[in-house]
Amino acid sequence: MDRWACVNVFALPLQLLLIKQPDWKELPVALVQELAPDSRLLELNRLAKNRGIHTGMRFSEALSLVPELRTGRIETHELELATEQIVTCLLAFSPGVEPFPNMPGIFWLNASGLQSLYPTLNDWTRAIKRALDETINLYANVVVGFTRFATFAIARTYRKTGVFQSPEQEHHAALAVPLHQLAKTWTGEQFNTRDLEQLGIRTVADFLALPPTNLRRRFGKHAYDFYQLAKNTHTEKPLQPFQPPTPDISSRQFEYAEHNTTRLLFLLKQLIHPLCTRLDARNEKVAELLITFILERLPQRENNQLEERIRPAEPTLDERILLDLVRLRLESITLTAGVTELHVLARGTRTVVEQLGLFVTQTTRRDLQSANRALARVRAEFGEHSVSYLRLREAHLPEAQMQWVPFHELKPARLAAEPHPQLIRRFFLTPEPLAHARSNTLPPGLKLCAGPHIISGGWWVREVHREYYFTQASNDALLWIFYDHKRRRWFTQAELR
Amino acid sequence: MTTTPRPYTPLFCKSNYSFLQGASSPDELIERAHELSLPAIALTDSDGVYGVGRAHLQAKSLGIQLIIGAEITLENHAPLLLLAKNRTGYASLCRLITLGRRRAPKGQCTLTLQETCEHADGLLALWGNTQAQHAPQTSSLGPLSEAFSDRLYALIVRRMQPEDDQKNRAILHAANTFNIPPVAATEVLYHTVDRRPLQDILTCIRHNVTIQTAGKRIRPNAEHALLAAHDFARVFADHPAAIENTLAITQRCKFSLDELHYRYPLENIPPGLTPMQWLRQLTLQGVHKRYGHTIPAAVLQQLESEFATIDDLNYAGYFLTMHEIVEFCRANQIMCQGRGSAANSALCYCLGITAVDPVKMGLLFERFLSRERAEPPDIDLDIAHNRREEVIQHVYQKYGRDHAAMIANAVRYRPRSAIRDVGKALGMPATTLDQLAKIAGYSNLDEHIWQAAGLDGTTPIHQHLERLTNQILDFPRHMSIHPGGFLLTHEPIAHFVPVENATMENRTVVQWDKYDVEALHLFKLDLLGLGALTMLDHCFRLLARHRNIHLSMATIPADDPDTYAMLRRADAVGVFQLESRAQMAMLPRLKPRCYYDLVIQISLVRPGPITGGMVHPYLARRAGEEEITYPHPSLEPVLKRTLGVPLFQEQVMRIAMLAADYTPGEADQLRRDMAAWKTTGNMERHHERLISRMTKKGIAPEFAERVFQQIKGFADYGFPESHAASFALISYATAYLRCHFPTEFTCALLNAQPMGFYSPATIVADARRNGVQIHPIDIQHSHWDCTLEPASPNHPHPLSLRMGFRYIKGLAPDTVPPILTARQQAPFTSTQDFITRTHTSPSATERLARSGALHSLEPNRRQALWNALDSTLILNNSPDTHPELALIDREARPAFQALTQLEAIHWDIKTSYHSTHGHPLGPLRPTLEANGLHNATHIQNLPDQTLVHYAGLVICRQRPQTASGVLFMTLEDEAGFVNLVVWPKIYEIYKTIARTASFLGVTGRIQRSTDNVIHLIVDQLWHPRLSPDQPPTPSRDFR
Repeated sequence: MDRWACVNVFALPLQLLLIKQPDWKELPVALVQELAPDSRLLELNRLAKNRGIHTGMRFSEALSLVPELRTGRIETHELELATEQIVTCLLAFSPGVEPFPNMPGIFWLNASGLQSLYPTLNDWTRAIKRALDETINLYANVVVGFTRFATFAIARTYRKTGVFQSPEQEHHAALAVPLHQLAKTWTGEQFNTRDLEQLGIRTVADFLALPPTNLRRRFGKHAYDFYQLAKNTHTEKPLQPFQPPTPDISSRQFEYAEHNTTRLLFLLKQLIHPLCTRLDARNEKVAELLITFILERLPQRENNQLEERIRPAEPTLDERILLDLVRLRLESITLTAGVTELHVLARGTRTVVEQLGLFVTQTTRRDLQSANRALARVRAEFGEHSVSYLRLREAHLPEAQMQWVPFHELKPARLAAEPHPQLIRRFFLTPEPLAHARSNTLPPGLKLCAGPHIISGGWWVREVHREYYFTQASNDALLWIFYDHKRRRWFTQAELR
Repeated sequence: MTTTPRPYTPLFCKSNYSFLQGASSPDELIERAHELSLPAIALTDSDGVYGVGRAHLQAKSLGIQLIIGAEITLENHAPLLLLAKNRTGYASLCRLITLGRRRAPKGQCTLTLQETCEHADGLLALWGNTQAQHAPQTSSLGPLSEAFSDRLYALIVRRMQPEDDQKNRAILHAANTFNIPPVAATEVLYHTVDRRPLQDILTCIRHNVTIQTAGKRIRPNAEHALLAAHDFARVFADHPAAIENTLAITQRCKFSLDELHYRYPLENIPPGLTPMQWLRQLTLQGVHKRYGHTIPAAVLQQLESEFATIDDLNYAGYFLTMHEIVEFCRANQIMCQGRGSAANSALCYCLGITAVDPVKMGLLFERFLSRERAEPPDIDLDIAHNRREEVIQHVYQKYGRDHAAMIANAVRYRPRSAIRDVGKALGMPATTLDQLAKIAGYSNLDEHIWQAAGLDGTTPIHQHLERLTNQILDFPRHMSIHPGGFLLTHEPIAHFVPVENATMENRTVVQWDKYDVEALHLFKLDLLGLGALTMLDHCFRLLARHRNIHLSMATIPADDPDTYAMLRRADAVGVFQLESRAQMAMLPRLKPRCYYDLVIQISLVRPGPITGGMVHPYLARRAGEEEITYPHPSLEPVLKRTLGVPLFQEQVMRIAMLAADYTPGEADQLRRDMAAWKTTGNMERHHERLISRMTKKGIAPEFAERVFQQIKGFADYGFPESHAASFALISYATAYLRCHFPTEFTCALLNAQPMGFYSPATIVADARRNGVQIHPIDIQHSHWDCTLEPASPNHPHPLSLRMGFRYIKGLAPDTVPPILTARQQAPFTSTQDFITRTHTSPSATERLARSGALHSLEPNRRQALWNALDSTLILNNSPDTHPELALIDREARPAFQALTQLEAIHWDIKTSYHSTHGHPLGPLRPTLEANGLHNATHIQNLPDQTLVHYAGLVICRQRPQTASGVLFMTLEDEAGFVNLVVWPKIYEIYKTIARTASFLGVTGRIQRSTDNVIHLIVDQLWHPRLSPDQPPTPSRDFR
């Protein structure tokens, strides 16, 4: 590769923030690490800079100066997504695109052999800029040169687009680059450029004039590595092109609309088998299958896609278990139209070799694995939420003290303490209104056993005021009832047995 | 037929002094109890009696009985309520809490059941349902029953929860077994039910959770308000005896804080003498020292009058203690001086406590002490700030920790902290709260603040925030320590009030703040730190050592014309109380010529006289531009010295006494109401009284109204004359030293930092402008402190100043002794020699190199830094042991450019807060001049109304509350200062730059007064764009 290009998307996170918040275009905006008062400002737009605030300032300090300052943050996944989009865009201009992991927004491209496609390299750089602007709405500059280091240094520093005609010209320009612009972004670890600057070492040329061993003694390994990199550009590593990960997905399209679930099961078997083989090669097992049925288009239906998620009791490569679960799910669903396409996505997980399990003797009659398999089958047949349990919560209202939570895995049972004879309260999921009981006096036919006990609160969202009573009905049933002061009605909360 | 229910006494009440538990103040609880016609109320805060002082006053004023108690946290047991039956019981309670608090970290209390039983004397114990979550353990009943006998009660509490009945049944069963009478209570956490949300929020703040995630940490219902008698009777309808017993307990607990008979500790009184006789003897010894053999008759007369008052009030012990502390300071050469109203006392003057002669000054003794008020005197003793801790520890040692403790200071919720804490508990974003808190400042949260923050104040969550924030204001958040207030007692202090540990080591603190101590008429003494005294002490020592001149506060020549001439030029950097921007602007207008002028000058530039509109009339009369008139002939003696304008608190009191026939007691009440009118509004009650009485005496109503407005102005802080007189002595002393011994003065001032108004950079620059020769920090010559050296032969001053290592940022003091030791043996020859012989750490060597302290070893500071950065190598290795060294030695030695003057100044300020190489704008002057930007001297000579462009470093920004939004700034350059006035409209336009820029460009017009006081009235502010290397200079923040 004789030609390198470096694309620098200016302040990528800030540009993404402004894309995310288009209303902020005419306002001072700052990118912050966290949305907290003591968080530092990382990047600023021009309006913010004009108002006298600067990067490194604390958010609270900046806010006191510019009350209309808008701040936001960009999540890592948003940055990754944007990087993927940019790479996709750049792949249209070069087969070799390498994103720089230490600094979002920097990309190297292989700029060799483009003569037959573009009249000049200048045309190529302009096309890249235009594509980024028009397709993703991002502003960038492009520098074409002869080395990884020099193109990066110049693109990062000067923010201009251009092409170097000779290595000497590029080398000369790189030497004049201010050191502080590069140190942190290149190595990911900042070495002490402040001290170097105080010593009068301001440019790459000044830096390269220092004695390297002495430099290492004083400024450490990162400074030394950077020195070697800037000095010996001929030994720098070749371009590491970006390779998008291939998803573990199998698909099949039909020329007809398939209605028969048995046939679909066999088709799915054919799709699942290569996925298992692929995962096995990577020492992984199937933790989850996502099956997408594309249904034939019917005029009366808007959505022609059906997604089903299948999770085995534990990660497995046993196709029989997977197919059994798929079968159960197929039996429980109704296909409203024929299937024209099938996609199966397998999510794998690393295989854990459980050698110790071979030596463990089964001491209990209860087989946890079987139980979990059974629960997986129930889940496959009746849906994700069919296996749930009640979790207790710290709250005052009885119905708020319990929450249904999906149940994933059965744990070994523990013996309960000495059984405690207690009345069992059978709660109504929603308190049931007592008929004909409108006044705040105890409803007729009920004998007071204990009360009132008062629960009131929730003033910050929805005010509640209840008076609870234990009562005995004429049929000797014990009822836990309450008078709701807000709704002015009596309700049964639970029955006691 | 309805029957009137029997009243009851709420016995389980927590106020907001159960920090972050109770949601009402003691005052509110007592007021509500009074409204409900309850006969009494008990205050039972957690492990403390913090709130009983103000509760006592409130109960007394409303005529309701206050039962004093506390909820005591016990190890392994449910809390116990203890109520003081009598004085003995109150002492037991205080001792018990002291025991638990002193052994535990600050904020906690650790007590066992056995210890509680050992302190049962005079206390009633309420055992039972004190905790919602847990049932009480019956195992504690045996020991409690034995210790408390018939003073033990079984407490049944109803919280309207299902557990109540079961727990109360168990309690009553156990009580029956031990034959203990039951007593009923609800757990009162607020006075009315509308405080329930606030109680929830306080709980969230205590547990650091939000209201949405608080779960069962908050109470399940709102059944914690004070109940009316009929509601209480309904709740405990099944336990009438338990209700009746609340009244029985009320009958038994008759203790009141009025029973605290305070006696001052009396130490070292010679046998056969009463404290008063001993005080008289010491005073008469002192009077001879002050006046020699010829004692003026007026002094003797004044002393006799003071003796009589002190004897009547039995305050001799207090004066003896103050005298003892002052003597301790003197013996240990610690500079101290009494301030405040104590300077009105001739006795204090003779005892050496104060330094102002009140007879000569005609000061009013009643301002300090009067039979009518019979309040304890309040003497504030200023002590050199670097040695105050010695005096504090002496007091502890002398009187013992059992008899001396510091006074607490309640840290209270203010708008900012309230918004932050309440908002966080409501789950609001921290950034929003920060914005609101910043905008609110010291104002309550209201619609204007919502508007300013761009938020909708009508949403439910915002309305909750607004309501709760305003409710929580002034609630105590936690207790801290008063800066210098001490409580001394003859009896063990823990018999009066519990003592606990302070955060600071070796400090103990009582559970009352200064308002409680004052309200209960206890004696306190204030030992305050004052930097100016430290500075004076340093300066006197330097003069003695280097010039053999032995000066002291007493021997400084009085009324020195050169000193006053210097002050009239507003040349007052470093002069105590006169160095601020406002004081300096006033000096050329007031033109002080004698000591009393300084007293007036100090008093004049205060919010009181400024808002009272007294400054301009006084100055006009002084300049002869306005006729001196008096509102009434009777006021002439009072106002004559201040040309008919009241400037001091004493004058206000005397006006009230003479013109409105106030008694001395009424006059003192007027003074107190003046000080607190913004919070209490009590000044209005004097309005009618003053005006009508003055009119009756023939004073014109409009003049009477003006006098009242002037008096009201004092509420914004006015000085008593005695206080100003004490300060003026120190001001004069510092001004005299500055005028005649500038080098020694600057050295002392720099060694006493941090203190005063200006940064070290400004002090150094000012001293250089005044011809003081200042040498930089040097490894071969400097010490930790700044020192004096012989000056260059032709220099006008005999001594020059050498900056000390203390000014190198981040340099630890223990770095210096090895340097001094090694230097004594032989001077350092190279950086390597320095490191080898001193073993100075790499980071310290680097700091020394950056600051230029290695200049004598390596003149190129960059080269010195390069050498220092490798000090680890020099220190730990030699070429013999480390082969890499050979390689390093073979490498070419890099050459570094020498620093320019501007860079050198930049490096100095960055590393040592100052520069001896010049002012940062000095090297830039040619460039500035080329841009039409002249220095301060040029500005000072321009005629009035000249349009001018100027650039300087910001050294001071002030927006005083009394200035209606006007921003005052002081800019500095190599030639001096320029004072800016930024009107509110201009400030709004240039707010960001005005608040942030350290190097500021200004366009404006010169305003020159007839007294030649120059201000630059700002039209525009801008960033001067001259050099990117311009060093940032630290600037003062708003005050």
